[in-house]
Amino acid sequence: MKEFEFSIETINQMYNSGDLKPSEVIETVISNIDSKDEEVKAYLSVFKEEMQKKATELDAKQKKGEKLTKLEGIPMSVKDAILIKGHKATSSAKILENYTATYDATVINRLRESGIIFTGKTNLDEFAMGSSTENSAFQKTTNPHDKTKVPGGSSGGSAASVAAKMAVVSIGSDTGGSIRQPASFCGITGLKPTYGRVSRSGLMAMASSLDQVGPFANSALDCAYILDAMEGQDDLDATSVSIPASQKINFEYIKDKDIAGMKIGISKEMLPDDISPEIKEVMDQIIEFYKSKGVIFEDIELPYTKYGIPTYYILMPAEVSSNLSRFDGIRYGLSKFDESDTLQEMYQKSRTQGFGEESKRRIMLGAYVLSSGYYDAYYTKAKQVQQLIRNDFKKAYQKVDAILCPTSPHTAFGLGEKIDDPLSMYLEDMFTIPANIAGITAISVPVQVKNSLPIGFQLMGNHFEENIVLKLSHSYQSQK
Amino acid sequence: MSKDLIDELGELTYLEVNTEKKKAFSNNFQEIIKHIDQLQDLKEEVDILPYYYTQTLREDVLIPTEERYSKDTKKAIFDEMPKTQDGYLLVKAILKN
Repeated sequence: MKEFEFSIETINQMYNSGDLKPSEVIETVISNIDSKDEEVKAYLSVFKEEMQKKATELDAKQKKGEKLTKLEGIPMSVKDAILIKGHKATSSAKILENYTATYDATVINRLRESGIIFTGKTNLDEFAMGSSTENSAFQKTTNPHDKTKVPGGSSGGSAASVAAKMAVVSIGSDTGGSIRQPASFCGITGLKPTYGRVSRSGLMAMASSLDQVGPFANSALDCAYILDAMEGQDDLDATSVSIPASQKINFEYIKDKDIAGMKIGISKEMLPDDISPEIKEVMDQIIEFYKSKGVIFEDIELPYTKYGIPTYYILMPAEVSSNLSRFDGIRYGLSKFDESDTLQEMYQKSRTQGFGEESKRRIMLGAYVLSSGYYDAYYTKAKQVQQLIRNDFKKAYQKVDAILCPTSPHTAFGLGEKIDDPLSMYLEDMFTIPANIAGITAISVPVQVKNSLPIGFQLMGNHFEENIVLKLSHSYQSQK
Repeated sequence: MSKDLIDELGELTYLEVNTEKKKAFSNNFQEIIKHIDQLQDLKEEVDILPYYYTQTLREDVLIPTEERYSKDTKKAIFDEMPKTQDGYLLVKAILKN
């Protein structure tokens, strides 16, 4: 089997120089899935025949001497919360175990048009609720770097599939860190785009005002290629935005490694003194690297970000309780019609048997914070704190181009270690949640540390300033 | 957080929590509520502003179902329905006879 680097640029160059065929890349991916996924359990379904058929078509195109565009023949896995017409879409939930998507998500349409080959659907925490992928109704994904550890979540299957070379790239969704935290745990790059940059049409809604689709890859540059193909306004999502020309993905700017004079902010709230020593050491190294390239560091204040988790755990379940009310056993999914006498009984039996424990907890928490007498104390208050957090970031970006902090407070934790302690699991997202609450972009970049599990650092950029965080990340990754 | 409240929320959301798990569920719920209650200490008042950008919404356009969905898509949607009868979605009676 031919050796090649799992990078879009390299594969594309090798395709166009005739050194590699799309079918060879696909056969390598299939071979990796066959040999590794029994243990990693990243995939819920694999599109073997579709992959081979598409690769054969591209082989023929290559043989005719036609050049392949950047994403043609690039294998991508897809989080199972994103719809691909004609394929199962379960969101790792029992209630959708037998559901087949009736339309394509907008991101799927756009990526298919760009020539991407979809490899299959990946495991996640049920309806994207969790930080370890252990809340899946079907299987527990393991971390490819250490099978006793979690891959992170909720998009753990996507991250593991790229880390184990069972796909070159992947897409997931990020509501409170579900792309960045698994990217950090699995040692790859993961980008949460600005809210509104990418259409959510065809992504199963968890918390609609926070959800955003984004890429996983082995480099920031590969993330840029994927984002470039799927971003932009969409008539099917009223929150998607037409991106100004000056803020569209600019590869010339990203690839230019001159970052001297750029300003990075550090705050004691997002890089606290009591962080674990191994994370602290890595963060110090990153700061030294950027300083050596002429980047200027500024102290900034983000005083309200410490309220990120309580704010998130009011806003998110409030939206979850509304969004998941559509699963009632009537129009699709698990139904207990034949075992019920009344409509109410059917609702209750279908939902009780179809939802897992974490989904139930969040739906009920949402109902609690929205109920009469509590609404102002919780929901209105959380919306106000969200505004205060947004104001914090707005003020910070008047001084700096990006903000640096860890992605996660530590490396990947053990399977089963936190599953019975939901609050401890929620605290995992302390560094990722503020970006979702503010609606800004953020990227997790892996750092290779000897004798340690992967660690990621995070760069947060202002609204629609993906070019800045991608440039800073690319500069770091080019130096290694 | 009483078990009665869990039952009440279960009734509101059409969910039932397993009796054996109710105690742990209730304890976890209580811890989470205690955590989110931190916000009550914040006394700052702030106007909630619209998000970063202004949305431009298109005019509503009426598209008849026959034009909106192809025959294949309609069939796929119907195939997902747990119970149908004579081309309609079947639901349980809301009121008992």
